[in-house]
Amino acid sequence: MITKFVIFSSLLILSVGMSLPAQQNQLLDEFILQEKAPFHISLYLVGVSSGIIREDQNHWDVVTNLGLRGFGDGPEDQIDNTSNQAHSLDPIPIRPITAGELGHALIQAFDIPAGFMYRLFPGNWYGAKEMEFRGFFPQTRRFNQALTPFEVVFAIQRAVNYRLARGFTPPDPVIGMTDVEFEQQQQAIRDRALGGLQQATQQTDAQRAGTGGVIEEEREVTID
Amino acid sequence: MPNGQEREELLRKNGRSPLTKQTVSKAFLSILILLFTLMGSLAFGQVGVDSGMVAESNLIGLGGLGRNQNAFTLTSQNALRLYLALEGEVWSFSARGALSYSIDLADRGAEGPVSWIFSGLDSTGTVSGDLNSLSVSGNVDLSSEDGFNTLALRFGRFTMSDSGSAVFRQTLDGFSAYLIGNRVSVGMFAGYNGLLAKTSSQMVYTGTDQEIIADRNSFFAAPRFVTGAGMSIQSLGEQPVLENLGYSIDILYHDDLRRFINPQGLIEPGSTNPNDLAGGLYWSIYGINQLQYTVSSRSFIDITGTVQSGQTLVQRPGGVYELLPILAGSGNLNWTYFLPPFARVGVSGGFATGDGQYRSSYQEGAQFSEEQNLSSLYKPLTKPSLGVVFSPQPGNLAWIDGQISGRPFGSSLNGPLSRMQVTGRVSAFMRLRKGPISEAGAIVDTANPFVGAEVSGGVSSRILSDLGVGLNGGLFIPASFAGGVFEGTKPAVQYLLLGFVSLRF
Repeated sequence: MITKFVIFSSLLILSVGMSLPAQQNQLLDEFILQEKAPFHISLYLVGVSSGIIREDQNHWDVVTNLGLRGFGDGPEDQIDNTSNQAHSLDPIPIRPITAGELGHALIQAFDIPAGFMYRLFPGNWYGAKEMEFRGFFPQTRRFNQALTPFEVVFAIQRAVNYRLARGFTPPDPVIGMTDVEFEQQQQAIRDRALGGLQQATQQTDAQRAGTGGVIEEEREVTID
Repeated sequence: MPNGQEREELLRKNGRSPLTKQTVSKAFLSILILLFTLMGSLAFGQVGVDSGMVAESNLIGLGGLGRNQNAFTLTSQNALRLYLALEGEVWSFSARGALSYSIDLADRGAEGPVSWIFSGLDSTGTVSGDLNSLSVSGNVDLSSEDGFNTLALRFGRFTMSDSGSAVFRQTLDGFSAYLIGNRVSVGMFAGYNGLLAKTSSQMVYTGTDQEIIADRNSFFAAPRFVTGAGMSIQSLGEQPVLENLGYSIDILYHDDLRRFINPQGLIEPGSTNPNDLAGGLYWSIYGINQLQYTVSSRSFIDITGTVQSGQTLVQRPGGVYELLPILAGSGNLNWTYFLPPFARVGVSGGFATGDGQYRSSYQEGAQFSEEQNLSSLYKPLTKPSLGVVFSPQPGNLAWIDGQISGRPFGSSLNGPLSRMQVTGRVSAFMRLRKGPISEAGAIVDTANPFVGAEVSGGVSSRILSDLGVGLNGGLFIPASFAGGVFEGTKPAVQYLLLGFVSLRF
């Protein structure tokens, strides 16, 4: 059973790896052998495969670039953000990623159309329901349930396929791209992803005052 | 004929639950303990949580045209459904409830839609509510590679059925236990109908059951009990034909618990002056055999045969009531073919035996001749869906239909159109022999067996993850011509239109 899982996962990862930088293969190999998908690696894969971040950035750049809420209080809460190896498996991650977190991140990163309720209340709860509706998980997963590496890779692959069918350009050109070219590409992706979030973000910021302000400030610095 | 007070007393007795308060309290306490255990696991992130609401609205127009039988009714049915699910590694809990409001809008046609919306909870509307599901289920791993590898248990209120839903499919309060293996599965279920709201139960067979439905003071359904046991074999052997042949057998037993808790409310065999409110003691037992043959990876054939026995009340011409043994049967053949990538076509046909000795009505307690000592009228426990406009019980009928369904834009387009589901169905109905069918207006002695034909179709789509819309329609052409089964009792054409919208929160 475990052998079948590893083989099938490897096939899936091969297809996802098409949209990832080649040097990440070792990371992927280690990733699928984990019992539960580490939070930071999963987000890193979402970010790189969607073109939201470069391979030398880390998962927290995905959170700040997309303005994701409910992902912790800051980089220090997850992992050492100053390390260039933040997307590696060392040090051991604090926790696995949940279905809601991955769903929310995928919708924002790949600009996947969502229902009324998600548009009104974007977050983990309705993020997981969107994943279920689109069949992005191989089996039903609730918003708070931890995912396996196979489920994370399966969902990313479905998201990549969804965008490819709609003219999405895989982020391969990131390698060798100049900083200016990269920022131009990132700006275009962020404009699209953040467009629908502006109103909801403002409302949420007003309610959350202190903690929300920190994230908003970081995101603005990154964008500009 | 009973006076008003006696009538109320009799109705109260008929609707009384046979379960004591202590039993019900213990059951709810057990469910609460399991619920809190699951909630405890939730704190450690081991249990998946889902909850929400679904608002549904249906607008149903039903009418007839021709033969001076023009009529039209418009009904608005609205429901708010709530659900909660806690899903652990082994055990899960689920609860679903609904609050429904239905109103007949036909007499408000001239006032327009605005008036319909603001008509409110006036006396013409019907409000109902029920707990549709409240159950704890578990899949216990038996870790047996050759034999059964999973024990699936479920307790509480949930939908129970035989293997192919050929005879019974309905929510009951009870339990089920199934041993599931790679080749063979066996299991059983048992459930009680009398704690459901009467609007949620299809188990209405006798005069006493019908009085519960008619009585405004009665909330619970008839105190009936159903149990079933079955075995399914995925493949009968390794030879070329047997390899693709599956088989299942089920035995179902159903009884009226008023036999034990309130026998004085039933008509006694031999009686000639029964209480007008009472009915007989109707019970039944079914043997169901089903063969499933996989012709190819896209083509499947199912053959189902059912034998029914039991006892039903009849009235001899002299007025004497009697419990008569039942020996009846039903057969069904269904062929399904999957057309890649997103379509399916199917042809099915079936029959269910009738009884020419029922002279006045399809119902239990009807007049009966003295010539026969068996009732051969087949009645399943719950009604199958034989049509959209014309949806009869199967007894004394033969039918054939062709169906097609699919997603026409599933591969060529994206978005809501790719999720659009289209269905179409053509059906024809024949009466097996002279005698009643379940539908009102059928003339017992006409020679022409043709009952009618129906064409129906629908289109629906989940436009967004939380928004669904659909439109269904059907035309039924009854045998209302001279010499037909429905001569003078039905219009030339009956039609139904149904529009619905649902929103998930």
